[in-house]
Amino acid sequence: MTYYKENLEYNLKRDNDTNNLKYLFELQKSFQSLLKSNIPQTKLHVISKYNIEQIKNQILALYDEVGEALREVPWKPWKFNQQFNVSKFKMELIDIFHFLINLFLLSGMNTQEVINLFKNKNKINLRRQKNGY
Amino acid sequence: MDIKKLEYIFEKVKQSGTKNSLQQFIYTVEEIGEIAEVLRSMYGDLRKNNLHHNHLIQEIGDTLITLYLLSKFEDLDFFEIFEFAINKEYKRWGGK
Repeated sequence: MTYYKENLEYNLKRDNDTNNLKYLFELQKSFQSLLKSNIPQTKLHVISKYNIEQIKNQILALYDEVGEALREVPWKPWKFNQQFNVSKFKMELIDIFHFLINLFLLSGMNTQEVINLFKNKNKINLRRQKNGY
Repeated sequence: MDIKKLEYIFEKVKQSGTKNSLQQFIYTVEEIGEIAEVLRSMYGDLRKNNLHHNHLIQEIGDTLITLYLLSKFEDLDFFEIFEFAINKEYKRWGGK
């Protein structure tokens, strides 16, 4: 737990984290605008039918990418000479992250909200580990 | 439907090291991912390769087999489950 806490403090220096994540969000927004897929540029309070369609498509893509990541892992007991191609696996995780960012954007979340909700959920998870569900 | 072939596959799967339905489920997850890939391609996602109906047929088939095996690990009758689900869905949609 101490190791975990130290890492958490090290990794969650708020300003840097927010900026790094913000940078990734901006990169993804500009990529999506190249694709003309209309990721909302501002926070959405009302999710239109069009965005529901987008959300569905992004979730489908996410499933696909998760499957691709799984295929890079040598988990099949009957398959001999399986290699764990870590660099390909990492790239699949990055693909997953792209679509996850798209989903954050489509649901109107900014980086600060992502970080806040993540931290809140992390606290809940820690409490659950300590006290049980 | 050749149930004997399915039972043969089940025995081989067990021998190869898959021990229970939870371990079997990861194959279903993999196949669902493959269906997602085919559908993305079929519905115009340019980042995906040229995949068509034939691929979809193959992936649906593979997925069904994983579900059969998953049921079998729990000693359940896949076809009975399927029939029950059809009837339930039929009624839900107003079928008499």
